[in-house]
Amino acid sequence: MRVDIDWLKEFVDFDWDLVQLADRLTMAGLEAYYGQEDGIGFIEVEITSNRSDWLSVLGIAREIAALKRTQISQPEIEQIAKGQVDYRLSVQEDCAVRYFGLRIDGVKVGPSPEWLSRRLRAAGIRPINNVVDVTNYTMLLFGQPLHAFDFARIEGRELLVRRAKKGERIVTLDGEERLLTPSDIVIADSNRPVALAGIMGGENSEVGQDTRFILLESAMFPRVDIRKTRQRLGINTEASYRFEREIDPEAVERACFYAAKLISELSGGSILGYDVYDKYAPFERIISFPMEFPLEYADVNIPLEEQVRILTGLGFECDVKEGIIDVKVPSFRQDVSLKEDVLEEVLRIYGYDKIPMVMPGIGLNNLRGRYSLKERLLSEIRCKLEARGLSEAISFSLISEKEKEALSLKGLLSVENTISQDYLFLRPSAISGLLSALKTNLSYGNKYIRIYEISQALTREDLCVERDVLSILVVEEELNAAFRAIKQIIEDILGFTDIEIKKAKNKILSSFAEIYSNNKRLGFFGKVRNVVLKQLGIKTRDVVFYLEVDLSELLGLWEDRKLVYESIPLYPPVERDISMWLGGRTNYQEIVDIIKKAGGDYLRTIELIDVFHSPDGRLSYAYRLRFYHPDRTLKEEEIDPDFERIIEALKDASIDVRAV
Amino acid sequence: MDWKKEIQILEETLEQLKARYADRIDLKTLEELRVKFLGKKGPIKALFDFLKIAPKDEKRELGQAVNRIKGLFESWIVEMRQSLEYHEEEIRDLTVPSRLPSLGHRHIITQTIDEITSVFKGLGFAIATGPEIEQEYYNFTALNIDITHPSRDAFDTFYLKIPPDKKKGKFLLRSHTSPMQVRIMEAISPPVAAIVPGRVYRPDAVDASHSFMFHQIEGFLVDKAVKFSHLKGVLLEFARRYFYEDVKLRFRPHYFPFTEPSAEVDISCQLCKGEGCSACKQTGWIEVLGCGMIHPNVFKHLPSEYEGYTGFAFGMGVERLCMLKYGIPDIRLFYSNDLRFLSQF
Ligand SMILES: [Zn+2]
Repeated sequence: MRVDIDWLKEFVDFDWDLVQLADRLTMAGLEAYYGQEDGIGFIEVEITSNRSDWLSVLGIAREIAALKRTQISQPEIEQIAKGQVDYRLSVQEDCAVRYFGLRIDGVKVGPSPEWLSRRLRAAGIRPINNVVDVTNYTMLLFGQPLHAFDFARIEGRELLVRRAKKGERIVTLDGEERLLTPSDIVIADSNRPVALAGIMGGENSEVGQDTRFILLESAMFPRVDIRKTRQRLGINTEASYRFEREIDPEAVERACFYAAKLISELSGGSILGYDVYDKYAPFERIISFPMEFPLEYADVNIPLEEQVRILTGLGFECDVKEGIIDVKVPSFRQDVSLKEDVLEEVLRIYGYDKIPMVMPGIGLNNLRGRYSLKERLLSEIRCKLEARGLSEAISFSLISEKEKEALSLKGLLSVENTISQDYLFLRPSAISGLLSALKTNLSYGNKYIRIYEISQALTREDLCVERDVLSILVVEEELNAAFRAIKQIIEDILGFTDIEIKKAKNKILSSFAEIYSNNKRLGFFGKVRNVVLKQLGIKTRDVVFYLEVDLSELLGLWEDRKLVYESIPLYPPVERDISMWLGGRTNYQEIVDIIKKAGGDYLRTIELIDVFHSPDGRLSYAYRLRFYHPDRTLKEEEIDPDFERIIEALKDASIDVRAV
Repeated sequence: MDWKKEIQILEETLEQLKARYADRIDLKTLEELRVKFLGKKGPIKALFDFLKIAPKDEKRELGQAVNRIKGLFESWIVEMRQSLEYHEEEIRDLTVPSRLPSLGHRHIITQTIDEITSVFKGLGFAIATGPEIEQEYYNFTALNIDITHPSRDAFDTFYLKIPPDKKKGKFLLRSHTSPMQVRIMEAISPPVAAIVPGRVYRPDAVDASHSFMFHQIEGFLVDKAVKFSHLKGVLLEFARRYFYEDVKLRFRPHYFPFTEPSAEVDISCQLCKGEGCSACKQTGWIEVLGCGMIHPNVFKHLPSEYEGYTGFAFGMGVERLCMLKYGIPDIRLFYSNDLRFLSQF
């Protein structure tokens, strides 16, 4: 809201220049900017959502008054007698709290005087005529939106505040036809809606050059309904802006009388009287505020008289007894309901900058344990991945239908209110995000793509539960290289526990396998199938490997891991190499298991030292075995029996030992 | 024999040898030179032989000169032999690029979170994280966000298409990290000081300065007799450690439903020292976070053991701080995952 300085000065006396004024208001919580137009200074304020009273000249003036430790002078308002009116007013339950409908006859519509037009223009409101302008002027002054109807165009001499009927339509003052629903509140005559309550008037009852008879509305409508209608129809007006926050219920009457008086002054009409619907119970709230509270809660010692002056300036009445201020809350400050609210009022006017800065002695913090463990695990994993050349990605947690289909994701949660078809479903892991990052990077010709993301699994099973998932994507030119890169990462981050890798089938990934530890599934990996890449529009000849690890399962294992020192052999080992042809389905691990089982007490390590592909397509592995004695140097011949046993065991398992 | 001339020639020869083999000599050449000059048939041996028959009055002078020249040759040989032992092949081109793969880069958002949370860790706070799928109760009700508050609208919150919980209301993607205040205090006895980073969601269309997903860091401290002055103290200490040493803070009164009194905090602009520049939009100040004393209505939703305790809370947007600190012009860069962006940090 923008307001002329000279208008403010009608109600409060201050000697600050524009810069000081804007600064003081801003530092009291009312963000203010300043400027000049036609040689007259103005300030523009941005209110916080709890302070709709600031949407008025009087509200801003009160703020200045409190800062100046003074009080505002109130605008002059003459009481108007109710009198006899020539129409019938009725209000449907819950459609208004207060409704004043005041009649003025014999107005002569014309342009407003310059002083009034100028103040409207300064506030960004276009002057129209001396009736409509007064309603806007009064709204700026009190924060109470008003509306003037051309009474001659109200049919049936009846005004009804009611819910709209299904299918009912109104052409609003902006020329738009609006289709209404029963949740909207309208002002209607005996035939049709003539205004959209609290938002905008109707064209059918607009005040124009020929208008002689006026019906002036000043009302309080339920704010939530106003907001819903306003949002549905996408209209934002000065009136709806105020109504959907909170207006001062006690200003409804005052603003009505003030405007009526001004209209009759400017356009020569005479006031007939008014009809009123009133369900407003006068607002009463008294808060006991200990004068010591600012000291107890903010370390500032503010003299009692100063606290009282601040509160009085803001419009609170104060009654002091024995160190307690009984603070009477005015109707325009219903946001204040606790002593902490009163404290904020005192502190912000007194100045937050006068509150000292003190370091608290933090008591024993009871929040420790698992959280810090998780933090350590994640930090360790990140370091290891980065050391392997993986960069961290952060991608959107919502995915499109296309991604969902391409990745065969089922049973996903979705959002009610989507902002775009690209962001419909909650994702269980970041595979979609990493693939989309891959696409981005390929399109820029970026090389060496290795990325990871840590994200929460957002699934039905994890409602309000935090389950972290690690997703990893590695691109290599060749399948085996990609597998070995992934395997290295698996060993890096899962190496502290015994894991088992089991081949399985998967629609999205080939070379698919699952990773288990103690029968718990820790994750899986595989090559992203070309058909999937194609569906997602990713063009590459390289091999894209994906690995996923359930970090919450991992955390459990990591938490339980026992690090115990194991003695290091002091004496040199005896080494034996052995190589063999791999028949049928035998693999590296099976052979290790056979050797271990047959190896005897001295066998400590088994190492793969060579892999050989023969020209006829056979595969050979060479292992190096190390034997140690804990207390002395072993003699070569001492391990002959052990080694013999190993060879026998391999032969028993039909393994073709090549050389020893 | 003109021994003076001989000695002079030897001296000159040695200088020539030193110059010639300054960079490099091989062992064989060195041995040949040693034999040539210091060997039995060499010129120095010849001079020693002459010394025996030299005139008496020249003997002393000649003796000194011969020994000196012998010493010079010997020490040169030793020196060259040593330098040969230490000689190795050297890298010719030091500007050649390093080997791939280079280290991966942690996302700048994560780095910023790490940096900020570690400051608070140093002040005694513990780090916690929480679920991104939340319920109305934790996201709004328990935080004193009234049922009619605009932020509860579908315009400002992503609600999930599943039936609501009878007690805790609709499921949603959390719109801030503040629900963790309540979740932590339901589970942990006071005193407690926590710092909670994480993703949050609001249905804003994505453009240069908006994203429907972004990151927040929430912090709170609850103990006996925690005051507004403590909030100011902790935030100043944070700002000194995270922004810069002589930073100034400005607390502007503000409104948040879950704190009372509340404030927005500006830091003095480091670039212009408060004079005004484009970074601070000519104001000398840059807004960095929101904070306040935890609202009594929030305490009403906590276990009874929290009676008699007070506390403060604060929250900041990570993307915003990152954009300020590194001059990043477009929020979408954070989620593009373009390696040319990621590897800058
Ligand atoms: Zn600046």
